[in-house]
Amino acid sequence: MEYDVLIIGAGPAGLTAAFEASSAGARTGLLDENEHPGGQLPKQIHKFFGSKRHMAGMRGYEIAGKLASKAFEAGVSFLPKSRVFNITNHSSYKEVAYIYNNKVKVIRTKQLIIATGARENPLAVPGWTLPGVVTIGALQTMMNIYQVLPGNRFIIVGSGNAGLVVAHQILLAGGQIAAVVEAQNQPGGFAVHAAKIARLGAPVLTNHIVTSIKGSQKVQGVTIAHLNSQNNTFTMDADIVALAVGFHPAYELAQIAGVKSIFNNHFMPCHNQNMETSIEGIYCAGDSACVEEASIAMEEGRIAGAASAAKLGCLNKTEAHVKIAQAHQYLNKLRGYNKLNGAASSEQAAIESKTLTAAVAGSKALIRCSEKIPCNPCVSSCPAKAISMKPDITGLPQVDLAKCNGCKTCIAACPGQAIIAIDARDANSCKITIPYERYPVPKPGETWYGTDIHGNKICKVQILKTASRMSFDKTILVTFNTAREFALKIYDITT
Amino acid sequence: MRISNHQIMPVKSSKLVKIQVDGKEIEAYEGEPILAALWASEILVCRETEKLKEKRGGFCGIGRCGDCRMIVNGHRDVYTCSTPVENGMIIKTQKET
Amino acid sequence: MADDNIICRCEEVTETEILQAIKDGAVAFDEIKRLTRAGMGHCQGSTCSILVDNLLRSANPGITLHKHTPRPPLQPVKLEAFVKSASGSQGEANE
Repeated sequence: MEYDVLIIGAGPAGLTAAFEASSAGARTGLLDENEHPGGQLPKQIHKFFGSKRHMAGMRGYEIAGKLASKAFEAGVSFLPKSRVFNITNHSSYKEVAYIYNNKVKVIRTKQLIIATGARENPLAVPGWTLPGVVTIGALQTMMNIYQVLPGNRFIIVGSGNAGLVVAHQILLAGGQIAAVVEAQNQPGGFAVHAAKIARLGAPVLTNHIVTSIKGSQKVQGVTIAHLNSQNNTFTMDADIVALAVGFHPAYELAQIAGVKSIFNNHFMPCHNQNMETSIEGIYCAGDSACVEEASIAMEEGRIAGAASAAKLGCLNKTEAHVKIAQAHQYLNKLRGYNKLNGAASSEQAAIESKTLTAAVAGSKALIRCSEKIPCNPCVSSCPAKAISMKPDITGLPQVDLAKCNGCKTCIAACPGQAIIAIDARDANSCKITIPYERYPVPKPGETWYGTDIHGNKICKVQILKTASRMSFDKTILVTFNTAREFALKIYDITT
Repeated sequence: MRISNHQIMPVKSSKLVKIQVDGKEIEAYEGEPILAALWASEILVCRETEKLKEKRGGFCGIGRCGDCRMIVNGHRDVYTCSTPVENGMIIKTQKET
Repeated sequence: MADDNIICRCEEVTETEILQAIKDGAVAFDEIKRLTRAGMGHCQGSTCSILVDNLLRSANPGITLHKHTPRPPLQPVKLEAFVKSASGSQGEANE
């Protein structure tokens, strides 16, 4: 027997499971088809939502590095470039067959954790087989790891977080977003992600669907229809159409092993509170169990790792029980949010004018985060403890303007880039500080334009200062001067 | 198109080499997936299908769908999205017969 | 949806062909696979199986879908990979 616990898939779930099992003393192996660990994390260049426990505020690729070094320090053996194609279940062990270096290999393990992640949903519209129609994941991989874009003008189909985040990254990389097309009446992803692309002028067309993709040898454009009105069909030019219409669990390996599944829009494996499937000693964790997000995948991985180690006697039962109960508490917190239950725009407007008034005394933070999403780096980053949130991950952040000393730490910490600072000590003008991650970077003394919530230029601004620190992690804080009347209307800047 | 300036991503550092695609020489970074080099040179077509003679190109980008397969150094069915570039590779559009 | 809309990209199976198979009595992805070859190409149904299930559901509202039966090898494996491994010992580590 080579391993006590073998994990397939080195994403956030697999790495956390491997760490838990190995630090309990189980001989732990971690297989992945890629050369480097991290799953989809290495291609995520944005700062992650969540809380400190899940490394929120760090960029995805950094989280991958942290999780991997934790696992390797705990003694996990990593088997890269190994693509599993079969699992067989025997009474006292499981056998896993994989390809490594164009050679078939077989290993045995007592306990097996399947953490193979998700697969992208297809969208079969006429023309979807044309070259230039790609999945959002393909685009993100090529753009963020290999630094290539397949074209200049993009249409994104679907405005979940994946669609919105990648649309923003296309803009950072110098591409154009013709439109993000969304069938629902509002963006599917977080409002802060939608706001980031909106203020750069990229339209999210809600209540619209792509009815066909046009082109002869490759994509030339799409036909879009408005869902609530007849005869409202139009075409739009594009080189690339990226499909971002959701994900479903990639758990074929569990199916091959004979794990029971249920159907809920797509098939997914049945599992108990310990993430153990219908087959004893086979677990699932992360997106391959149910598509959620990285913090949840980590907690599920923790559960599967601890439960499998406990079953082997590597971890004592009480300790495992405590660990698993704690992970479930976090899972409940992370899942227990209703983003629609956020602040009304009138409440936000009141907060904004109150902040401007308080800023007469000095710089104050203004948070433009009106959805209850599970995220709190603003709270944990504030040295003055001026930002609070109730409940502690899934509430709305509130700034105590009396306590806020204008230090601007929260601006770089916010993964949604939803915090600015306003300084209104001067009677006529306002100094505004915003987070900035694009190219080119403004220089002090330059004149740029302030843009509104939709990316329209509304006024000239004087760049006063740019600040970058290690702790800001590549986010630059840009401070500019503007007439007071525009203080609350500016959302971003452009040349 | 290669992304030349970026605030967050590190600058590419591997060696520039040459590969041939349907007789045309293009530049590529050693070790990057062949598909990345193709996209950088705005080449989107990888193969032509058997029944409908449709053009196809990279779709999933992670070695699942198989739509990016091409003939590389005489070998058919090479998944270009997950095969690293080597200097002097001869790559051809794959036509199914 | 246009008649010629492709559902299975690998085997070039159209929506019309799948709907015909459903009309002919197919009630499961595996049956449609055997009748039309949808899901039998390079990707082994990882792209189209969910689309075929959706077509089955819209043709038969309330249907309980049968689970798929993927079989090893899950992805294309060259025969030489099996031949090469036969000469090595079982369980040898990645070198």
